[in-house]
Amino acid sequence: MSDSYLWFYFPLVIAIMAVLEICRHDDPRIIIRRSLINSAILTGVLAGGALVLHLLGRYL
Amino acid sequence: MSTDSFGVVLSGLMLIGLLFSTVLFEPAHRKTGAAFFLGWFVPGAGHFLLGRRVKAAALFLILALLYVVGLSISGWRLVSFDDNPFYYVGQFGSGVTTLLGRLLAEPKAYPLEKFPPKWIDPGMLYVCVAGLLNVVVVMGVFNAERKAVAPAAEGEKK
Repeated sequence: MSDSYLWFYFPLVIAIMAVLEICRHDDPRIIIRRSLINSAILTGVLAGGALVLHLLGRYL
Repeated sequence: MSTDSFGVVLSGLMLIGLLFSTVLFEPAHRKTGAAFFLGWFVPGAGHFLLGRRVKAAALFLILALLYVVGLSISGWRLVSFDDNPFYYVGQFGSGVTTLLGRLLAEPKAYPLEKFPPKWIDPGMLYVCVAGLLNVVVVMGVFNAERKAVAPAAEGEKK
């Protein structure tokens, strides 16, 4: 079994987004859709930031 | 105050708050006050009290799952102050996590042999996040109450 931290990232982010959306909305479809979209956006932002840091560390 | 007594004091404060909210609050706000403090003890219980049962069940399941997974990874032990002060405080966001932590006695997380040792940190993070998310859920009780009252008020206007 891989000991990567990534095993924990996606369940945690989806759980956090789901709880936040459940508090805001009543419709399950909206909750699921917005949770997944927000998780994807957060992941994209983090991945983008990590990429920028990686490139800065490598070439500067 | 020792770090061990922090959870006990917090539980006492919440219990006193629950009692005061049912006695001192105006009748219109009593239920919300009780839901606020009850929601701290059991995740989702506040929403359940306000009649939003599906939402309450969903919130309880998500937070309980996070907590159980985190606990299982960190050796079924409460996060101690020595492990991580931030995670230690965060786990007190819900009464059940505080109570279970006390019942599980030895306040020192340790990795189980079947898991890689470095998983101890995300395990403690899960326990902490379960507590912190419950703070958000408890605050959501006021929003749930407003939504429950708004349709009734509109019906009265008509």
